[in-house]
Amino acid sequence: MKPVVDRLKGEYEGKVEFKLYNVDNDAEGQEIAAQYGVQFVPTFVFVNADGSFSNQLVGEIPETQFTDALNALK
Amino acid sequence: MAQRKWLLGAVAIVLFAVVLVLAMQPGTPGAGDIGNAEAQALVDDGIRVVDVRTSAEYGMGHIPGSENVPLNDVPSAMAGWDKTAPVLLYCASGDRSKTAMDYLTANGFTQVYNLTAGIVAWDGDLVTGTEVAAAPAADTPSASGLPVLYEFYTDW
Repeated sequence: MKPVVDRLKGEYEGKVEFKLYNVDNDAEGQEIAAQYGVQFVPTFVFVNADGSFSNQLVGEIPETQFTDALNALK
Repeated sequence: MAQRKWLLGAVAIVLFAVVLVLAMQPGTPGAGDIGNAEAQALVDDGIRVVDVRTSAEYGMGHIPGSENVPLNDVPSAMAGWDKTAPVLLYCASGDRSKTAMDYLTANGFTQVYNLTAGIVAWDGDLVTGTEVAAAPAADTPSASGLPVLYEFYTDW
């Protein structure tokens, strides 16, 4: 997923903020993961600008499904 | 004499039929990649279950009764395992556990199973996290004013 995420990060710059956390060594990431009930990695959590939850996807995801989730963000 | 020959022949035919029927029964393969149903049957039978993900991943959620042996630790840990005893390996999506399975098999282990699709596709029971999860934060608008995509990953 890394090449896909890296490319989409550039395409959505200014529209969506990408925050990537390595849960092995990032305490802040571990805390945020716990808040969203993340159980497995990789997990992608989509949150609207007002802080409301939008979507959560786990594992290797088809790019179309990933971009659909990004486009659904408000 | 003829009667004894007939009896032996009948016994041989019955035994052959039993073996044939047993061989046609679907069951868990002797080793290799397996799906959720076969894995659950092995778990119910008490197989050694090894989670080869990182400790952080294991802490977020794992199959009940599994032991966490991160992939890099498998070579040292396996020294204490019975090579003839069955073992079920899993990771997030089946890649790391496949590597572990190949390694164990190359080192003389005879009954090694890999959960093909990994724990992300597991439909059995899970132990979810070893710590109480923090209370979900109230909807807090992002500081940037933009929607946010969070990705939680490990080095694997």
